[in-house]
Amino acid sequence: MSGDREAFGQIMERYAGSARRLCRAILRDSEDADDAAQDAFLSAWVKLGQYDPRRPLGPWLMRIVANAAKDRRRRREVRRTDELSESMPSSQAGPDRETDRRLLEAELQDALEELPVRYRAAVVLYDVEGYSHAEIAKIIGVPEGTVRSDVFHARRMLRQAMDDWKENWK
Amino acid sequence: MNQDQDKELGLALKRTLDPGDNRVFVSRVLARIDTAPMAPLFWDLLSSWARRGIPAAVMIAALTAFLLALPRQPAANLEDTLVGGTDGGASLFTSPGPPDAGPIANTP
Repeated sequence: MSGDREAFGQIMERYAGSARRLCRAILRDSEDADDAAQDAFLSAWVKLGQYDPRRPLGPWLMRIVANAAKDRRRRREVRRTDELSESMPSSQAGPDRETDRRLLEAELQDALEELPVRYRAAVVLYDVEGYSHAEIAKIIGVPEGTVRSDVFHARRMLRQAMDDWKENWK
Repeated sequence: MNQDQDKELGLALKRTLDPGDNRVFVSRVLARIDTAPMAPLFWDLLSSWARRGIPAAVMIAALTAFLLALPRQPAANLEDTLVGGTDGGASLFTSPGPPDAGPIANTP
């Protein structure tokens, strides 16, 4: 049992960053995102017996993470519909916002908020986490062709934001 | 790993969504696991049994009901089978006269 716990701790250390980023992309609120990621890891711990070790762990785990984030998002939307504009944490936008990197992050953050949630999940899983279209299709539960299209559209919109930033600040 | 990752965009997004240090997060989740490690597993196991057990029980009940509802045939009677008469073989023992061999003798 303690061995399982230790092994699971190592799994979490490896995947915590990816899970938390995906939850942030879907939920746009760091506290909600971490709560969802925590729910996901607890759920994965309980379901560990169902995991087929012949398959890669990442997509299995990220599917649980995506579902936890989507569940939380649904519950949150039921709870409050008027606070969506208050998105990523203010702690992320500190006093050094004037630096180039922070500006780009803010620009990208705004652009992410404009994207439908499925686009956000798809592009983050593809371009940040490096999953394939087929893996993402299984993770978020849509056809592979839809993932390709989502990544394409998301990239185009985010690229536009990056180009705007380059034009204005570089 | 996908081959045509947009690395520049990926890196910028990674920075944008970066949650910072994961150690506190991992400790928090492990602490939750320590406080309630196995309770959900018990319910998972129970529900997995129920998923298989309930349909099996329904099928067994339906099969039993079907078998009970079948019309019953009376058990074969040895006397009826051998003699074919209503008084059966008992007359062989109670009759004062010898048995009538006519039906057998007259059979072609």
